[in-house]
Amino acid sequence: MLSHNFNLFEELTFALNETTLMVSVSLIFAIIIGGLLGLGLFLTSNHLFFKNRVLNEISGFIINIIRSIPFIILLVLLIPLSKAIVHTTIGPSAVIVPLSVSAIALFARLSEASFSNVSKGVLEAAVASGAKAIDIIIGILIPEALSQLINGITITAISLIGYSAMAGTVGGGGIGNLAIRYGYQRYNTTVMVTSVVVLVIIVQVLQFLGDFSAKRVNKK
Amino acid sequence: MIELKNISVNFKQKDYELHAVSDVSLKIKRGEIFGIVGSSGAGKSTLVRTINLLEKPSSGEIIIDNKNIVNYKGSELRELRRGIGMIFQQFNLVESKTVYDNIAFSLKTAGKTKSEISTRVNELLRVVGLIDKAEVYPSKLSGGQKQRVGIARAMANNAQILLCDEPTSALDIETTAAILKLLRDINEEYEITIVIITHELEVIKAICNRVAVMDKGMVVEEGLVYDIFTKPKHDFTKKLLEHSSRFELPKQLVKNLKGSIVKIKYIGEAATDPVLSTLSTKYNVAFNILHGKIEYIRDLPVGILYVNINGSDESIIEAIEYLKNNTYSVEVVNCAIA
Repeated sequence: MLSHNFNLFEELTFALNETTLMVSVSLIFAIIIGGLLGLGLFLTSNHLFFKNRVLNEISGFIINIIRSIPFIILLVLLIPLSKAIVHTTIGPSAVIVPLSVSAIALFARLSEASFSNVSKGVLEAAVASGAKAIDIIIGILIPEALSQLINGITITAISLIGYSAMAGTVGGGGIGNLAIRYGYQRYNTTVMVTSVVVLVIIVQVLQFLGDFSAKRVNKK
Repeated sequence: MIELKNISVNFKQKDYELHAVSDVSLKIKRGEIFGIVGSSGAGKSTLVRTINLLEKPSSGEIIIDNKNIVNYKGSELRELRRGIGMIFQQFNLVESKTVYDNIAFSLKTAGKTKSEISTRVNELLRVVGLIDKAEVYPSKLSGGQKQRVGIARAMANNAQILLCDEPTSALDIETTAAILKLLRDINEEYEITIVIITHELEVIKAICNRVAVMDKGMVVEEGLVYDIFTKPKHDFTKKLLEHSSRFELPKQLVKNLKGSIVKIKYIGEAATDPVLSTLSTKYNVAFNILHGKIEYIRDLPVGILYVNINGSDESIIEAIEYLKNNTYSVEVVNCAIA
């Protein structure tokens, strides 16, 4: 039924590598840029730090716009941006651009919520002790939010896996692509089922690792 | 050393302005324990937060060591705050740090070296009696232990002033007593000026030298704790004291008793004189104590007694006269003499 040179194991390994590349690179961008944005959103909303309503609302508004665009539309919308940055519009590296943008917006909100959940009194005590804002952010805010930040990273990573599968449909590659092209379009149930099982396993493992490390750093 | 001059703090609400603190002036002396008491919402917390500028006053001056600090910013403000420790009702410890690291944090940010930090933290742990808890996380501590960590943390950079925001309101009676004793010891040993806000009169009685009574954002009365408790002037203070020491005789009892009933209040030295035994021997009256209470305000006794006196009319009159001359106040509740 399949062409004689199709080898499920080889294809799967290749697709898995593509997915890993897309997800991990986008996740790193999301953690760094999204985390900083989330921190910025929190700091500009809190009078103990740099309360700035205008800045806070403008950045919040932009993030909301990105968050409200369906990912499949974002994929298409950002084709010119991908072309400008990575000089191609197909393959994993092209898809990393919309994946990152979407994940950055998601993680910005998740990390903002994590920072907001840090006890106001604890931060106030640190301010009252005469510590600099940067020392409070690094020494207290981030450690206190860490457990929740890890949960946010887990959620972002898992969303990215879902998005990356979607990205496969527009030539992004990866396991989603494999499932669509061989499993769905060529009616190969084995490929379809195998791809889905692999995705399920990855998500379960990520969730387990995330929960485990979040619990590990939580001293409450 | 701390002088608040005409401090007002207003909060802008949606359609009106909330006057949390209105025109408060106070002088707090070096080395004293100054209490601010009032019901919740009286503005005590807001007022005390202006001292380290956690709350910026809308108007007024805050003079600490002869400097007006109201407009301090940046490094000048941080320097000031290092000299003013603060402890909180909910302790506000960093859950992700051990006891040691909680205390070490403000030393680190003040630029101390590792060995300086280690020496100081261990010294502080000894002061608050938690030397064996250095590597424990706050979630494993009891409320009293948490507040001890809070006190150690507040003192870390050799603070000269300690602001206490309801420090014992989350603690049980026994732990409260222990924490108050610790605060008093620290005050005496290190001559730290302590400003303590509370709604618990017991706290004021136990450790404060002077007290300000706050109601609706204003200080209605201020003075030595002993004076405020024994001779309250303002209506709000009287009401506040009544709530805490309300005790009356059952109406039925007053009706059925023969003889006179007097309420005797005695304070200070007089409280220790054997007034009542003199009364019975000298004036030939029989007395019966119906109700009574003695409490100590910073080690000075204050007592209230309800006494039933029986005897001839003349001897009762003489006896009451004697009591009036030898106690702080006598109030005749029920007079049997026509």
